[in-house]
Order: sequence, then structure tokens, then C-alpha cells
Amino acid sequence: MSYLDVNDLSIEELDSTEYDLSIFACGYEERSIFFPGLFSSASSKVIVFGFSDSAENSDYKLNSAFYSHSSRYKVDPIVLGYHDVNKLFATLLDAVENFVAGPADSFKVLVDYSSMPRLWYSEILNFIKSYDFGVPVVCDFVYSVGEHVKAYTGSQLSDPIVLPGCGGISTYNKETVGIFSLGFNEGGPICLHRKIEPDKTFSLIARPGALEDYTEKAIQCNKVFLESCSMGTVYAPIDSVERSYSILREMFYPYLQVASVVMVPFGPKPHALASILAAMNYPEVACLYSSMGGSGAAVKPTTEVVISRIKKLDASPYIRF
Amino acid sequence: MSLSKSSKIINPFENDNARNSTVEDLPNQFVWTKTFERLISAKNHIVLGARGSGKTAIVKMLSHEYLSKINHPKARSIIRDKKFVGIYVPMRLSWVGELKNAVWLDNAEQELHFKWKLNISCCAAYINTLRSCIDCYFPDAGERAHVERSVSEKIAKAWFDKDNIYTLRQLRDELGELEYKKMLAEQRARVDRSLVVALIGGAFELGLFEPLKRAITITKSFINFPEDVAWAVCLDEAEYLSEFHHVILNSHLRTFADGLVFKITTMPYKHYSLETNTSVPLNRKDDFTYVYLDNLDLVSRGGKKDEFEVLRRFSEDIFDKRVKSSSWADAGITLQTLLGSSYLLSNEETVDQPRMLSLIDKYCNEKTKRRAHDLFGTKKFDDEIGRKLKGAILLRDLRASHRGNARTVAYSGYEMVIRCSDGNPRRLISLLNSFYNASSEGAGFKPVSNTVQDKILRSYSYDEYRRMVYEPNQGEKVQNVLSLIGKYFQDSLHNQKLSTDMRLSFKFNVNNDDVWSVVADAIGLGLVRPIIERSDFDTLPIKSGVFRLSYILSPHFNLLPRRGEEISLSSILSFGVERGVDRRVTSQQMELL
Repeated sequence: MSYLDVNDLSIEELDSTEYDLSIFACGYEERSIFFPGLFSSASSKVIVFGFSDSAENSDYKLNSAFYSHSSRYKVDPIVLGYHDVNKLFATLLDAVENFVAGPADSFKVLVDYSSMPRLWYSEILNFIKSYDFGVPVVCDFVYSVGEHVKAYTGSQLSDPIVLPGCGGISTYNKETVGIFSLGFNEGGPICLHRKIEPDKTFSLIARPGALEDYTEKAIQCNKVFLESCSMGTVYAPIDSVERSYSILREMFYPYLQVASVVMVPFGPKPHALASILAAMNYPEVACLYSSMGGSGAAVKPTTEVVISRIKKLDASPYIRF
Repeated sequence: MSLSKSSKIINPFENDNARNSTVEDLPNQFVWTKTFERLISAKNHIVLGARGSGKTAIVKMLSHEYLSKINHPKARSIIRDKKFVGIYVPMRLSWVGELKNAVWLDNAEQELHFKWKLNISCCAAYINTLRSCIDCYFPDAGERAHVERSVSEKIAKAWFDKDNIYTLRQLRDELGELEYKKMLAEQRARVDRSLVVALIGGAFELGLFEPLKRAITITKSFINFPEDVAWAVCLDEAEYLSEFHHVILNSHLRTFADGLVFKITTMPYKHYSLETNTSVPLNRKDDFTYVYLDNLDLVSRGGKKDEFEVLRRFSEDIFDKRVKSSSWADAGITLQTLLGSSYLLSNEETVDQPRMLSLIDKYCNEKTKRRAHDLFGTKKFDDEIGRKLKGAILLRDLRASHRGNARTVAYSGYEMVIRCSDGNPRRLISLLNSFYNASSEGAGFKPVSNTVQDKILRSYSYDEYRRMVYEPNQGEKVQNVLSLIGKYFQDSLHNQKLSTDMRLSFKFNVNNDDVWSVVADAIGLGLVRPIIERSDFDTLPIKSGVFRLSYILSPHFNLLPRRGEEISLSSILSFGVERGVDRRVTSQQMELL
């Protein structure tokens, strides 16, 4: 069974790669065009997904104009609703169907997930995992670290769903272990914790975070959750999906084949990506999410980027005890 | 009070959720009730209860694994006679949530997918039941091993058409592997339509509950069960499913399926349909019975006793069970000594007639004042005015005379804590946990001061209020509407002249489905309680009836935790517009009226 292996990548390595497919997202956040403006490698095909509910947002219009006119891509965003994963899947299927690989080839995909909902990039990974490319697949995920200029306010959650390709098996469901990645909104984790009701709960917080004070800010925002729901907190850097994934594995490994493990990624997207990878690689691990909607504020790029290379392997490189 | 030296748990209230209770501690902490006993039968039941009302504890305890551990004469006899075997199947959000994102499947495929997943879950749950039955009915280790081997081998053949599976553990691992293969194949089928997913785990495609029934039949050939044994599939948390899934389950409630009966838990108003996959819908009395946990059991336990007495006994039972199973078992502590009496609600805290009369003169309307003066000095004063008004008038006086950040004591004491927990076990245990941990000299059982209790209750109440906004679907609307209702009652109690008829309940008189769905959701979350007629406890009111805010919200809104008299919801909505309270919400609702 295929395994998605992750390693950190430098910008230099990324610049020296030519891609068969590049996928961007156009939203209202300023950062949604930061990396595409920086990116200089060749790409045979470019897809930009836009948010249907941001169509009237002035920042979205500026970002959309960037993709359509001022950037080198000259591509109009394909507009999707938040839940429209079917259309996303079909678009990807169309994009790769005519790919003909040479014998020594590999298929290289670039995904800028900075402004993508977790649902979308989970579906992209799910597609990559499920589609038989006939050659090795390399998928580089890029994240522009963001500065949140507006504080989150309490808002209603959407219906919780298991992210695409992130279902867990129910065979070991006598106990549940919850691993909550925490961000700046206290309500989401508490509300989902009440619904999942894990037997054991652990928290994951970014350290270092996007900015110097973000770790402390996340701890303060989630004070009640950490005190009343969580049995322990583990820290993982925002700038390494490889390290975050490894830390997550250490957290859930003792519970494999004993309990159902549920990842709930409310924290920064690199942590969410690590959680999604864990759910896709381990049958007992599921990744559940409930969106709180965007803050509507223009998230500015700090100009740092986090790059991760995900390789689709035929089997897990780890021995399972 | 000192702690005995033992290996028992130290803080008896640390775990407030049955989901997290182990097979070792839940049977010791469980309060055996008439409702629970009623569920041990060969009938289909749908158990309705708000969040924290004990649904999971009840269906978990129905399972053979837990029932066989409880020290109760009836449980021992049921297990010994093998009359009832419960199989606990949690409908965890982590797999139900997956059903909701399978948007690429058409209805027929969705149905197959759901049945397949539920079959696997039921079979995984059955392995726990089988383990419990073998351990319980074969005391000899050799015999146990032999039976396990034979049953596992036969079930493996039936489920997987495989040989060489000799233990329940292997059976479970095989089930897990199959489930994962199926999940991967389902995703792959999205990119390759030629893939036939149905070929994987074909035995689980046969029909809902069929593989489970097959395993039960095999079990019966190794363990002697009486002919009339009821095999109860206890499906927990069906509120996470959709109407589509409920219709599928309903179809199985219509037929007596080879000794299988169903105990399904869900939140009030979250049994989404009575329809089945046939042309005949479910009939409430013939096919199943609703059991409403939030009211029924409290009242049936109390018979004709008043509401508080029922709440008190229930709370005492929970407290005693928890303490007895902890290291504090011999410490001689009681709930009363821990909390002391309530200034507002206790009958022991009396207010003499002259003081009461002066407060009535200060805060009541003319009619009440006249009556009070007429009855002053008689026993009738206490019976007809004093007792009815005491709590409210003292609460009002406390608030009116409160200065700055001076500490308050209104929400404290035995009677207040019991009322605010509202018969909801999780709420009571959470509060007790906070009290236990509140001691400045480390956690433990010491009488908790009134000011500390007040602080904890207010904070808990505010958290309940604050967090409802996050609830999916319509958390914001629930918070807006409850905020308006709470503020209306607060205004009546603290700003208007009082009478002996205090308004603390509302009558639903709004002909609007949206408003009703907000109230129904609030009931499910345990934030609003229907006031149900004693003649029909199992029937939840629909778009009519009288309701009150859950008493846990009383500290936040500075209300007295009593049901009081009712006022129409439309009047509350008008109040919002006229007085500028939550005007935006109210205006929207008024447009609908």
C-alpha cells in the first residue's frame, strides 16, 4: 500500500525543479500571491482554484487579476465552493489524463497551499495517492508563512467532516486518542473535543511559530483547552513538516492497533499537512476538521516559505512492530 | 478529612464522561435506574437525551462487557441466565464524519457504503462482546482457549472465507486490514471507474447486520443461550448520522430480526425521520419506544415528590457512587458538608417576617405588598408569600446592593449546586471536579467556601453560554435567541416590580420553523428544557409547549433556578425590539411573525 513520505526542501532545490503541474489557490489573503510571484521554475500546466464566496472581496479581485493578467501564468481561477471537492478532483483528473511518461520520468507537482482550505489540499493529496501515474510521483508543497493582522473572534463551526482520504478504520474503536493541533481560536478545539470525546487527548502547538510571540499567543488562546481537556502538549516547528510529521508519529504510535486516533488540525497549515499525511499513511488514524471560516482579514506574508517534498512510495519505509 | 491508603483513584470526579470510563470504573460509578432496567428487554428503544445526560453510560452499561461487571442482583441474574446480550457500537464522529464527505457517491452507493461501514463496526464491537461472553461463561482457562479458537476459526471462515485464524485478536486485525483495503479501493475507484469495490469484503455487502447475525449464530453453537435471548445492538450517538441513514436503520426496527433488537441513542429531536425503506413508516408503539432521559427518570424515581427532591436523590446517588469507588470511601464525606446550605434556596436559611416585609415593600408590586401587609404576622405569610418570594427577592437584593468587585455568594450551597446541575450527570461531576480542585492547599475534600462556589458556578455558566456559539449548524442563532430570553427574565427579576408569580419559562407560540429549530437544537445541547406533562414523559413537544432555560445558565443571567410562570415567546421577542436588547436578532424574528 502506497506511503506518502515527507522531507523538508530548500528553495534552491525547488527552483531547480521543472514541474508537470502547479496548483495555486486564489483567495482574499494577501499571501495567496506571494509565492506564485516568487516562483520562477517552469511548469507545463498551471491550475488556480478560486473561492466562490470571495468573488466580491476587493483583495480577491486583486489576487485574481494577478493570476489572469499581471503574472506570467495568465490563468483564470477555476471557481470552487468550499465543499466542491468533486469539481476539484475532476479538474485534477482532466489535468493529468494526457500525461505520457517516458521510462525514466517522474511526475512532479507543485502545490502552494498557503491560502487553501484543508479540505482542498487534502483532496489534492488524496488524488495523488489514488491516481496511478505509472511513474514515481514527487509533490512539493509550499506554504507562505502568514502574519495574522486581525484577531479571531468566536464563530460557528461548520459540520465536522473527515478530510478526503483521511478516514480511519473503526476496528480498534474501543478507545479514541485525540491529537489537537492548536491555533488562535479557542472555540473550535473545545467544541470538537466535546463531540469526539477522546479517552486521551494531546495537543500540538507550533514552536517556533510564524512570529516570535505566536507560541505564547496560541497557549493563551487555548488555556482552557490545555487545562481541562489535554493530557499533554507537544511542540513542533511551523517551518518543518518533516519534523512535525515525525513528532506526530511518536505521539500516536503507541496507540496503533489499540485505539482509533483522531487528528484535529486547528493549528497552522504545515501542522495540518503533517496530520493529513499521518491519516493517509496509517489505517487507524483519521483526520477530522470543522471549518471556522476565514477571518476575512488580509493575512500578510512574512516572506518566509516552508517547503516540503512528498514522495509517493509503494510501501512504508518503516518496520511496523 | 483524610485519604485512605489504597490504589483506588484519588479524585473521584476527574472523569466526567462515560465515553472515557473504563470497564473497571464505570460499573462501580453507574447509578442503576428504572429507565436503565426498562431498556434491558427484547424491545427496540430510541433513547433521547441532551448532551451529558448519560446516554453513553446507559448503552455502554447495557453491553455484556459492562453489565457483567456491575455489582447489582438484577445484573447478575441477567448475565447468569444469558437472557440479554448487549453489543455496544459507538458511532464515532471519526467515521460518521467520513460518510458526509463521500459526495462523489450516488444514493445507492452511499447506502451500500454506510451499510458496509456499519457492518464492520458492529462486527468489531461484537468481538468485544464475544470476548466478554467467553470469559464469563468458561471459567476454565483451557476451555476458554479452546472455545475462542473454535469460534474465531468459524467466524473467520464466514466473514473472510479464510482459514488459519484462531484468536479474537487475529479476527480483529483481519477486520482492520479488510476495512483499510476497502477504503483505499473506494478512493481509487474515483480515478478508475473500472475498479469493482464490491469485490472487497463481499460478506459485509450482504445486508445490514447480516455478518453480525451470522457471527451470533456461530457463537450459539459454542455457548448455550436460551431461545428467547435478546441480542441488543446498542448504537450510540446516532445524532451524527443523517436522515438518510436513519431511514435505513428504521427499516430494521420494523422487523424482528432473528432476536436482534436495537437500542439507539440520539439527542432530542435528532431522530430525524420515522420513514423506512418500505412504504410503511415506523409506528411509535408497535415498532419502538422513545425513552427520554432528561425528564423521565428523574420523575419516575421521585414518584409524586417535588422536582428538587428528585434532583437531590439523583445527585446524592452519583456523589456517593463516585466517592465509594475512590480513595475517599471511608472518609465520611457528604455532599451537604462539602457545599453547605444555600442562602437563596435552603429552607434552613430563614428570613424573619419583618425583614421579608421590608424587602417586599422595596421590590414588589402594589398587589403583592398589600397582600403581604394583610398576612403579616400569620403563618400564611410564610406559606403564601415568604416561601415563594424568598429566593428571588434575596437574589434581587444581593444584586441591588452589590458594589464594585465585592465577592458574591448567591450561587452557592447544596441546593443551588444541585439545581444548577439540572439532573445532568456530566454537569454535576464537572462542577464537583472544579470544587475538588479549588482548594488552595491542594486538591481534596474540604468544605468549599460560598464565594469560591459562586465563582465556579458563574464561570461554568458563562462558559456554557459563551461556547454555544461554536456549535455547528446554528450555534450563533442558538446563542442569540437564548441571550434574548435570558435577558428578558433578568430584566423581569431585577428591574421590574416582583409578584409571587415570577416569569422564568416561555411558551412557544411562534409559527415559524426556523425559530423552532433553534429551540430544538438548544434542547439537544442541554441549554433549554421542555416542561413535560407527567402524563406523557416520552413525548417531546413539537412547535408548542412550555420551556425553560437550563438552570446552569441561571448564574450567567442572574436568575433564580426555578421554572416559575410562563410568558409567550412572542412577548420576549417584542421586548427585544422595544428595549433594544439583541435587537438585530429580534427584528429578524419579528419580521417572520
